[in-house]
This record gives sequence, C-alpha cells and structure tokens, in this order.
Amino acid sequence: MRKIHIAAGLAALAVAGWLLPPYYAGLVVDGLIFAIFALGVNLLLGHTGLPSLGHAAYFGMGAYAAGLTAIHVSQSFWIGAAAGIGGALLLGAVYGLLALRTAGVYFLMITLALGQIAWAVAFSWRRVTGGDDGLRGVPRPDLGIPGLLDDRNAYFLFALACCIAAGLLMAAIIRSPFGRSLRGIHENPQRMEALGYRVWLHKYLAFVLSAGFSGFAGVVFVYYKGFVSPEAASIVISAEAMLMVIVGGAATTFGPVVGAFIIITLSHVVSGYTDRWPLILGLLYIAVVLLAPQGVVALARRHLLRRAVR
Amino acid sequence: MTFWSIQILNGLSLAMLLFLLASGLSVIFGLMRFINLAHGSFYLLGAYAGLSVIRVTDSFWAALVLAPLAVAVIGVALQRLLLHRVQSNELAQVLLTFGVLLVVSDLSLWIWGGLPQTLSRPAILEGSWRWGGIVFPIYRLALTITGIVVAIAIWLFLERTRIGAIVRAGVDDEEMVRGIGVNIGAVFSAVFAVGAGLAGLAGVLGGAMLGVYPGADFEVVLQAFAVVVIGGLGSLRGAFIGSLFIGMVDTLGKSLMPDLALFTIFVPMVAMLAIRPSGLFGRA
Amino acid sequence: MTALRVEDAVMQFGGLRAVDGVSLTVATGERRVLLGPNGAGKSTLFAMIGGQLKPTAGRIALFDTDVTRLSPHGRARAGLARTFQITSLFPTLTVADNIHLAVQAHAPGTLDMLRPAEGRREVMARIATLLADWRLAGTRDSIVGDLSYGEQRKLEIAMALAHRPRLLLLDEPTQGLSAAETENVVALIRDLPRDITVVAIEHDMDVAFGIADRFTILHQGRVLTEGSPDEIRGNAEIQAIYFGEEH
Repeated sequence: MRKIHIAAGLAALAVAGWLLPPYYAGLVVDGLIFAIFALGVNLLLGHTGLPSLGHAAYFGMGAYAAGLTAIHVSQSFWIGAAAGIGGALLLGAVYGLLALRTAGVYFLMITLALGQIAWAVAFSWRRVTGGDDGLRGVPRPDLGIPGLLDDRNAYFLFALACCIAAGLLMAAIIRSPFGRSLRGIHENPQRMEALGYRVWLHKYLAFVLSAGFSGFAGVVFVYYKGFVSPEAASIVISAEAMLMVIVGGAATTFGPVVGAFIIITLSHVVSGYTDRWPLILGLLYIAVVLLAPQGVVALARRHLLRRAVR
Repeated sequence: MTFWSIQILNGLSLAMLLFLLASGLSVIFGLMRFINLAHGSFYLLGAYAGLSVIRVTDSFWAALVLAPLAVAVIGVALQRLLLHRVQSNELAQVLLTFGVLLVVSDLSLWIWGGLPQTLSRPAILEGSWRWGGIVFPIYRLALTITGIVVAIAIWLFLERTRIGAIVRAGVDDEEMVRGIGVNIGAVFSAVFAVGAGLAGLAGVLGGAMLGVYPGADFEVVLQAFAVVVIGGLGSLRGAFIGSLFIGMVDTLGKSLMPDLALFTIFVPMVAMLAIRPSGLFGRA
Repeated sequence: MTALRVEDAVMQFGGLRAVDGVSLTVATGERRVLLGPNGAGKSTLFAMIGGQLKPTAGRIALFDTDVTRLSPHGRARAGLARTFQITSLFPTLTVADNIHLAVQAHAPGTLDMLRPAEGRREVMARIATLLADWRLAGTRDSIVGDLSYGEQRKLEIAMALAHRPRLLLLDEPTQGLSAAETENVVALIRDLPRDITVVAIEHDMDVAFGIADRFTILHQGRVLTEGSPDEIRGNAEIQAIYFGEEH
C-alpha cells in the first residue's frame, strides 16, 4: 500500500469519525486506545519474543500518573502525557531489571507477579489512587483552548492523532537497526550474541519502550474516561492486550491495531445483546489459539489464496 | 497466645488447602511442562458442584466424594480435547487456559449466580475444641489433618508405586520415559485427572470454610502459582513447604498488615523468581 | 602476539570432566585443526573459547587480553567469530537479512531506533560485497530455511567473516557437505588472508590435512599431542586411538 493511500484512508477515517454518532465515536476511541497499547505489547511479544503477562501495569501507571497530574498539577496535555509516559518508562525500567533475569515460563510468571504488585498498589494506596473506588474527576486536557476536547467527536480526532503518532513511531522502530536486531534475537539469541550484539541490552530497551507505549495508551485512556480504577492494571487487561496482538498477527507492524479494533468492536457489539461477553471472550481465546495462531489477517489471506488457486 | 494460636491454625488450614491445589499444579507442570491458568477453575467448579450436591442430597460427605470426581472427569475431558494440542507452546497454553478460566467463570456466574455462598458443614465438624485455654475450630483442625493425610498419600503413591515411579521419571526426563515404551499420554491424562480432582476437593473443603464467589478461581490460582514458584515446579516437597510458607504469610499478613495484605504473596514470588527461578526444591 | 591462549582449561558438568586441563597456544595467522574422537571435548572447548560456556577453571586469552569473564558478544568485539556444529542461522529470514544482521552488529549505530536499517549505505554496500564474494547473490531473497544444508553452512561462514574477525572458530565446517561443496569450503578457507587466524574442528582427514599448519589432538578432555601434519601423519599411537573409530 502506497503512502498516499494510507494518508487518504486516514483522512477519510478522520472525517467519518467527526460525523459519527457519539456512541460509535466512543467505540472507535476505545479501539484507538487499545491499538496503542497493543502496539506496545507487540514490540515485546511479537518482535522480541518475550510474552509478558503484566503489561497492564504500565497502562495503569500511565493512566494514574496522567490522571493525578491532570487533577493536581496541570491540565496541559504535554505535562500529563510526560508524567504518564515517564512513570510507565520508570516502572518498566525497574521491572525490566527483575524480569529479564528469567526466561520462558519463569518470565511469564514474574511479569504476572509484577503486574499484580502494581495492581495491588493501585488497590491499596487509597489516599493517592482512591483505592478500588478509583481516581475520579480527571478533566479533559486543554490543548491551549479550554473545553476543546470535551466533545466526544473532538476527542476522537485527538485520539486518532495520538494513535497515528504511536503507529509512526512504532513503524520507525521496527524498520530501524534496533528493530531488526530484535527480530534476530527472537529467532536465535545465541547467534546474535556470537555476532556481537548485546542481547540483554536490546531486550531491556525493548521492554522499557514497550512499557512506554503502554503508558501512553493509559494517558489517552484516562483523559477520555475521566476516571481510572485498579482494574486497568489487572491481568484481565494484560491478557486482552495479548489476545489483540495474536488476533491481529504478532510480529507484524500494524496487526495489533487490527486486533485491537476487532476485539473492541466485538466486545461492544456482544455486550449490547448479552451479559455473557466474558464467556464469548473466553471462547475467542480458545478459538484463536487453536485456529488462528498467526492472526486473523494471515488466516484470511491463506483462505483467499486457497480460493484463488481453485 | 490466643491470637497466635488462631493465626497458626488458620495459616495451617489455608496451607493445606493450597497444598491440595498446588501439588496437582506442580506435578502437572513438572511432568507435562504445562502451565494451567485454569487450575483455579477446577477449585471453583468443585465448590459449586459441591454446593449443588448438598442442595440435592443434603450430605456434605456426598459432596466430598462426588464433586472432586466430577471435576476430575471434566479435567480429563478438557485435557484430551483441548489442552494437549498446545503441549509445546507456553504462550499458547497461557492464552488457552486463560480462555478456559473465563468460560468456566462466566458459566458458573450464570448457573449459580453472583452472590457469595457457603457450603454447609455437617454437624460433626461444627464447633470448636478447647485445649489449654485455646479454642480450635474443629473444621480447620479436620482440614489440616486431611491435608497432611493427602500429602502422605501422594508421597507414598509417588515413591512406592510403579505408576508413581513412572511419574517421577517423567518429571525427570520425559524423552526417556517415552523411549521405554510407556504410554505417556495415558499417564499425562491420569495425572491431570488427579490434579483436577484434588483441586475440586480443595474447592469443596474451602467452600465450606471460606465460601465460594465469583473471582475465587482467580484468587486461588494466583496463590497456587505463588506456592509452586516458591516451592519449585515439579516438586511435591516444594509444594508442601511452599504451601506452608504462603499459607502462613498470607494469613499473618492479612491480620497484621491489612493494608499490605495483597503484597504478601507477590513480593516473595518476585524475589524467588529473580534470585532462584527453580524455587526451593525444583529442578532447573 | 598469540591469537589464542588457553591455560589449564577445565569444564566440569556434575560428575563429568568434559575438558580436563587443556592448554594450547595458537599464533597469529596460524591454521590450527583440533582432532579427536567423539567425546574428546572439542566442541566443549570451543564453547569455552567462544564464551557460550564459563570454564570451571582455567584462563582464556584472545590477542593477549584475558577474556575468561567476557561474554560472547564481548569476545566478538575483541575480534572473535565462530560457526556452530549445528548450523545456527535465522531460518525464517532471507539470506540478505541474515547477512544484514551479521554486518550490522559491528557497524556504528546498532541501537539506532529511528532511522531505517536500509538507509545505512556502508552497511548495504558491505552486504552486497559479501553476497557477491560468497556467490550468494542469486539466493539473496531466499528464505534460509529453504536452502540446502551446504548453502546454509556456507552462509554461516560468510556471516562469521562479515565483521572481519581476527580469530575464526569453525566447528566441523564441512560436516554433511557433498564432495563438491567440501572442496568449495576448503578453497574458501585456504584463500582467507593470513591476518585471520583459523582454528577448526574437523573429522574429515582430507580437509584437516588440506588446511592445517598444525594439529592439536584431544582425547578424553586432555591434549594428547600436538604437531605438524607430517609429525601427526607418522604417529602410530594417534592412528590407533583416532583412526580406529571410522565415521
């Protein structure tokens, strides 16, 4: 796809979003938020091959840090985002040092435990985080003009811009020498070491960057909802982000975006008809793992190819 | 003195409950290298099944026998139909079993409702026993004794029977066991059934003590994983010691430092993984 | 300057001493071949020199610098390169991408996260040169996993040489290759400039005698003897131990 097609597509999306009824605009905003989150998770999971079960910790950190900043310090987006992303990067930097001492199933478990610690902090530190009541009353950021983003459709454009920025940055990282090295580390870390790469350092940087993207998603999230609760740092969110990455296709650049939109759309649609969304979601996990482990896009492509051959 | 005696007994009874769960989880991991996030679902199903059996038969003892059996059957069915397909892929195991966790959790909510419920205990296990000025709830005592008995039974099974030897050999070196011509698939299923059954048993026993409610599956699987991490994956002795540790730490933590209660499990878990991932008694 | 000095290296795995006090010195520019029956400790010794294993005891020095505590990537930076007994490449990537990773490792800006990897002209030029020199240009877009075994082994050597190492370790470079492929590899090794020191493990006698300046024979984790090709050819004891086990 040529760049001009993508740009035109995005422009059309922006116009469509502006005209959408607020309910649908909200759905797309949710999709954009999780697209940013899934992009972050994919850097570590799909590209570097490190499955982390606690990534919601950074999402939550970004949300709480930005939310607290917006309430107590400043309504400027830049300051809030800096606090949110900065907090997530810091948490990732500390957690990464611990998590990267392990590998394989132990890595899964330590990231799970670290994520739970973050959740526990959000839950227990009532004075700061509001405990399980959550943090309320987070105002929309003013981008210089107060009230600019109060409207849901206006926030949609803002979220779209954030997602595009995150997507462009992620694409650059993946095409960069660093990104290529991650791919090599995923496939054959021993060979990478023997070639002269500082494998641990690469993994660590990927870990921290991944946390940063997740934190940014949390920032966009908290400004949108005006609220965040410890649930945002729970394993349910971590697992859902992983599912989005797998559904869209791990190790692709934009698969996570597709995956995020698929899951978010399904959750909104299904929840409209029944209370049994968790059941459907659970079945979805099972179905994806057994039937489409490379992602639905890859599955569709193979299906279409088979049809074309006949 | 009373405070400590209560805490110790509470810690021990929780530890025994955790042991029933963690022993299965640990042997399943050690033998099959399989991470089962849905192990807590077996606990939940056991508790709810027990609840239903008691409603129908009015007998706690019937529940104690039937519920674990039912869970064991469900467990084997699950393993043979779904879980064995992701035998070699850790990430797939995590996602698949997480899906099972969600499905079972939501179905349970649908069938039994969202209110916390407790399984009613038989009269013989109600009440307390006074000794030396200290009061011991009989149920918790019985639970503790049951746990120790089960631990000994499992140990005897693993150490003294032929199948137990096969299981131990399989934990050590799966390839070799296949090579000798043992039907490893049957052994896997049997071990899985026993693990699920034990978890179901824990569900009935725990359900009569702590109650059953949506979310118990998740809480309990995290504790079980903490036990297995600390004790060491694949080690029965590790599961026992780990259960004692987590049981005591969790109980004391909740009563002495309620604000930090949630951390008492995860901080030791992180510490162990960062320092010695194979746990106290596990194989690397 | 000696390219490689191993002093009293010991590798203990539980009850087994795979390497039991090995010392050897390789001069710069030398072609040294390690011989010995299976289980003699050759690959283990290579892993200790390469950094994949940490010695239980002993010291390893590259170009007169002690590297015993240095990681594999540190040793690569010190001028070491190696191939593995089981071909170690990136099977789902193309030949060109494999070479890219090899070249990129030592180019400045490996941690660059923002600019495209393909924009580095010196890197891309070097990749093109390597592809041409090693006659891999025709397969540059083939997935490595689809290549023949011989092509894969050739690629691995090409990648090892990508960053102009000073010491090259080759672990059974001709294993599994056809006669023609073997000849190719031997010619390639013979043609390497003398500023690269080569230490190879080989089982094929023709290849070994074709490239070696000097032999080191290992047996049961120890150095049995060392010598020039003529000395080794005439040594009856070695014949008995080593040639007694035919491949």
